[in-house]
Formats: sequence, structure tokens, C-alpha cells
Amino acid sequence: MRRFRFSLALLCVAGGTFVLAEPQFQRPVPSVRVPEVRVPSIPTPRIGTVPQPRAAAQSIPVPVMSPELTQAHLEAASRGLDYLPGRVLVKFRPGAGMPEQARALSAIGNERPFSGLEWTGEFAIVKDTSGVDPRELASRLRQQPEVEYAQPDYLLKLHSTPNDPNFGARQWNLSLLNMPRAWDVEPGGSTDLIVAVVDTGITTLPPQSMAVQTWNGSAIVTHQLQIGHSPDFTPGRFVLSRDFIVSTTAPPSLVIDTDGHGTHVAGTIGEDTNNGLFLAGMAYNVRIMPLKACRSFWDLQFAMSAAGTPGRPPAGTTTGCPSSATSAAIRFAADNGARVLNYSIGGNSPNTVVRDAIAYAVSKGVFISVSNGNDFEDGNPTTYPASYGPGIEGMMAVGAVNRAISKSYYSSTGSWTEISAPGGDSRQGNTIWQMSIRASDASTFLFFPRFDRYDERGFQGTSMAAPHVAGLAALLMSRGHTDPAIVEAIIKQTAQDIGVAGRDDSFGDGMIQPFRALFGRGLRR
Amino acid sequence: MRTSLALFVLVAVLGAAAPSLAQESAEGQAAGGPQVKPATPQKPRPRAPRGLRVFGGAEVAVPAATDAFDAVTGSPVFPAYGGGVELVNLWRGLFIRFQLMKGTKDAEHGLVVNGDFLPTGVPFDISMRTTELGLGWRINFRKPGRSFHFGGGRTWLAYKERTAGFPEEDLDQTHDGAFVMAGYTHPVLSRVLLTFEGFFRQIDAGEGTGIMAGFNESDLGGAGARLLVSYRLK
Repeated sequence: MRRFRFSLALLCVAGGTFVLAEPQFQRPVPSVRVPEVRVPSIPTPRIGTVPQPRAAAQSIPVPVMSPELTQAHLEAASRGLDYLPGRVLVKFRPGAGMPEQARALSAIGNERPFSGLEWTGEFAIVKDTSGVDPRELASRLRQQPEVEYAQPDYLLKLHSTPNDPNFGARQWNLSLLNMPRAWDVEPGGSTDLIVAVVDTGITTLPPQSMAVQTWNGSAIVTHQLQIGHSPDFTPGRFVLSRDFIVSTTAPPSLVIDTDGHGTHVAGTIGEDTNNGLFLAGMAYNVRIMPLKACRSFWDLQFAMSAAGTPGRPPAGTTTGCPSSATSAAIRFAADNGARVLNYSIGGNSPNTVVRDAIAYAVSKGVFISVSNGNDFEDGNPTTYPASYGPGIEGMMAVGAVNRAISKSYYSSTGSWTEISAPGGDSRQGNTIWQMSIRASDASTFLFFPRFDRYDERGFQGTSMAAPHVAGLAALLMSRGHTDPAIVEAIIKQTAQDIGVAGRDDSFGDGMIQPFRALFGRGLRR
Repeated sequence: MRTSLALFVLVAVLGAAAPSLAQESAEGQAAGGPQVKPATPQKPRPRAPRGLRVFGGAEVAVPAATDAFDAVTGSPVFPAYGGGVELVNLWRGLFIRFQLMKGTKDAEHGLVVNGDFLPTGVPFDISMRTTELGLGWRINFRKPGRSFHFGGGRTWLAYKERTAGFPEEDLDQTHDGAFVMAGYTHPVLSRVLLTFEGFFRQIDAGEGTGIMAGFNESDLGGAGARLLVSYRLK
């Protein structure tokens, strides 16, 4: 009995105190739910020549813009307009039938046959040859009872400035965002997820030559143009490419980036990673939907030459993104399965057409990341469509920070700024590096460019900041957060507060923290 | 700290009042019983000798931070196991208890967005070890071994979060607070007692930055019940 009592006492003491002797958890911690991946190995940047693709023998014509649109772009470039002359975008009120629409158009003296209207989405492109300023035409149309709104076909611009390709450290931005740890939680995103890039396009074709008309300095000649996709993008990752601006002479699915901006932006979103080549992207498994809605200098040159117009586009001609094209691209993305869309484009005029397209896409479940603008030192005007961000849950206006996590000198500020991400700052010696078309191949000083050779190039701009947010959104969507408003809330809530405490006009809610957004929080931490 | 002090005062007051309550109860029973024969003068009950008990057992607590625990663990209940020692009959029914309980539970990281918890799919473990040092008063019933007790005291909490593969996210915190308890003890064998006890802990840990902050919760204490098996050493 004594032995029994002693044993029982011992049992009680043991049962009560065995847990106390444990200095640490001894139970194996489950690990199956956290994907274990290797941190992507980013090879030493190659300075110099990248192995070049060999051109295929076939030769097909390069798509060019219609002569009418080409003329509008040329006139806009020569007059320094931020809209295309002779074009007004009109949305009629619901219930306005064809007779009412015709009556509204006749009020501005538009005698064009009604069936000749070009429709894109919910709005019509009214083409006017009277020479009246489109702003005046839009104003007259807005006064018609059948018209919900009307605006010129504003030319938006890309929000980046290319910089010296061999300058600065590469991809400090991904380290700053602790992406290697974020990839431990969500390695590259889902292959089922589609991210649309509305930009200058991303070449999806293998290396080949295509016939194009261009100006050789004295005459229009036929040139075999070399084109090809970036070697750091597996072609199989591209889906539903579509051209909304220069597609009049080729199938609309044929997309060629003749500028490099679109390729660079897409690289930040999801350049191939862990492949031992070049650089990394944030959501490197997702599929990319290249939507070309901006024309380059060369797109305009080829269109001019194809139309038989001798010479070159006016000096200083850069890229241009008509509202009609970008809004059509946004709607296309929403209707064709994209879940995230990057829009590194903006202008300084209110743009209802683009706002409505964005609202439509968000309502269809698309998260949209928009660049905030690069005009801080140019009067810091309000940027559109970025300034629509606070009113649309599921769209975010993205400002730029530099390596020191302070505001990039160019990054526009305002009440619309919602979030910040690395955008580079050449004055601080840092830019955002991704693969893009070799600068010397696409120079506007050339007569015969080529678009099949790629280099690591450093760009800066809120154009470069926005794709970081798009990439993060793609990773979050891959984790099952499919509501754009929820994605926005997560990104804001987990941002690193910088600048003035709380939300401010320079950084919004702060700099994105992909790891925190993907990892979440514990009970106490 | 003030809460802790208040609980100590409460226990002291209850402790002082308890003997008289017990006496009144005994007198009431004597007065209300059948008057078969004249009551014989009642002998003073012999004072129970001081004793030492060791115990082990399990508890189930419903944390005060119900929303946060429910969100990350999928249930607002947190079980724990442990034991301790109790010195009884220090002065009349006064006893002192030292106890440790430890519980671990699987959880999932997440974020609180617009008042809703969104899990991120990243698992982790929560471990809580409570140490309690308390005073109490035990009221013995007429039948030997049966008693009611109440008390309270100070508690210390060692809180841990562990995430596999992310050691930089591990968390170790200590907090303190106060507790009160009340329960009933029933003899099972001559030296073995079974105690059922309810308790309430208050451990203000601040909101932190985690899910508790998302739900504006800061108390790692809570209410619960425990079952203890005690062995009387002497």
C-alpha cells in the first residue's frame, strides 16, 4: 500500500511538472503547408552582350497603324497635344437609341453616317474632320441630353525614364522588399493566374524577321526588321496577347514591343526566375497578358512609311497611349480572365473613359495597379487615372521610393497617392533593373532599328513602382485572396509606414511589404 | 497590478468571513433538524492538521481574446495540462497553492481586414505556460474529505509563437496578471482527491501587432474549468 501511495504521488508530481522541464517545443512543428523553395538565384549581372537569337528565315509584314490614326498621332506630336486631334470619345445615356444618338451627333455638325461610328466598349469614337478642337466638340456633346459624357481621346504617357544600363546596383528593390522570404511563402504565384500589362506591348514571337516600310534618310524602303521575345520570358507564359493601337494590318493578337517599356514593366511583375538567367521578377510563375495600347516612335515611323509619308516623325516624339486604346485594353483584360492589371500610364486631364473602364474591370474582379505620375518637379499636377484610386477599392495609385526608402525625386504626390514601391532614383544612384530591348537597337537616331536583342536595363519612374504592386497582388491572388478590394486592404494594412506617421500624400499608407502581406500575422506578432 | 491587489484583498476578506459562514451553516442545520432528543453539547471539531498535497490535471480555458483565438486556432478554447503543490490548513482553512499549466495549439497566420479574419495558410504553434501562486480558503463539509474552496492570487504567463521555417517570426513574451478560483473537492480514495474548479484569469498583454490587435483584444487571460487529481502526502 505504501508503495502504491508513493507511486501515485510520484505520478501526480510528474504529471504536473513534466511540461515545465521543456525549454522549447519538442513536438515537431508541421511544415507541410509552407512551400519550401530555394531562394531564387540571381546570377551576376552580365555587363555587355547578351547571347543573341538567330533570325528565322520567314518574313511577314510588321503591323502598322491605319493612315488616319497615324496622321492623328503625327499631328498631336507636331503640335505637342495631349490628345488626338479629330477624335472625341462619347458615352450615350442608357436608353438612347440610334435616332437619339444621331440627333446628339448632329448637334455638333457631325454628318458622318451613323453606322460609321467606331465603338469600343460602351463608348463611341466620333471622328471629326472639321478641324474644331476636340475639347470644344466634347464640351458641345456633353450639353446634349442623350450624352452621359464626352472627352477628347487623351494621349496618356508612360511613367518612366530610361537610364544608363550599366549604372547602379541591380534589383536592390527586390531585396528591399524581402522578396526571398516572401517567395518562401508563395513561390512565384500560380500558373493559373493571369496578369495583364497595358503598355507598349511585350513581344511574344520567337526571333524572326518581318518586312516593314521605313525611311532610310532619303526614301521609303522595305526593311527586314528583326524581332523576338525576351530571353528571360518563356513564351509559354504569354496568353491572349492583343494589340489595340497598331493592329489594323495584322491579326490583333500579334504584339511587338518596339519601345521596351512594356517588356521592362512585365519583367518586374514576373520575369522568369530561378532559371540561371539575367534577373528575377516578383510573380514569376503567373501568365502574362501583353496588351499593346501605347505606340512608340518606331510604330509611328513604320505607319508613316507604310502610308507613303516620307520622312520621320517630328523631333521629340515619344510614346503615346490613346485613352480609347488603353480603356479598350482594360475591358479586354477584364473580359478575358485577367485577375491583375498593371497600368503604368497617366496624363493630367480628367479621363472618364479610362475611369469607367477601370471601374468595370474592378467590378469583374480585376485588381489594378496604376502609376502615380512623375511630375513632382513639373508643378506636381493631378495625375489621371491615378487620382481615381481612392474612389475605387481594388485600384491603387502607386508612388515611387528609392533605395533609401525616401521619395523618389520625380514621384508625384497628392491626396490620391495610396501606396509606394521601389521606382528607382537616378539622383540617388539607383534604378530598377529588368530585361528590355537593347537601348542602342531602338534608338530614334537610327534608320533601321531591331527589337530582338535584350539587355538588363535600369529604368526609373512610378511606371517601375506600379508593377511591384501588381506583382504582389498576383501573389496574394495566388494565395486565394481574390477580391480586389481585399487585396488593396491587405496591401495597405501591411505596408511599412514611412514619412509622416500614418497616411500621407507622398507615400500613401507606406511602402509595400510583400512578406508581411503573404505571411500574415500571428496572434501577438 | 491594481487588479492583482484587489483580488488579494477580495480573497483576504472572503477568507476572514468564511469561518463564520461555515459556523452559521452548522448552527442552521442544528436548529432546523428534528428535535428527537435534546442536543448534546457539541464538541469543538478537532482542528485539521497541516497537510501537503500534490496534484496534476487538465484545464480548458476560454480566452478573453475570444475572437483572436477563434480566428487563428479555429476554436475559442485553449486546453492545458499541468500540476502543482498545495499546502493546506495553514491556519484553519487557509491554503496556499503553486501551480503550472501548459498548453500548445496549432494555429494559422492571417490578417484582420474590415473586421474579418483572412487566413494566409501559414501554420504556427501557440504555447502558453501559466504559473499561479495563490491563497485560498477551504470549507470542509461534514463528510471527511469533501470541501469547497475559493481563492485567488497572482499569475505569470510565458507566451510563445513558433513558425516552422521562419525563426525570425518566433515570439517569446512574458506577462503577469491575477486570477480567482473556486471549486469542490471530493475524495476518491483515502489519500486521493478529485477537484473540479472554475477559474478566471486576467492578464493584460497589450494589443501587440498581431491578430489580437486586429480585434482590439489585449487580455491573454480568460475563464475556464479544470479537473485536478490530488494526493495527500500528509
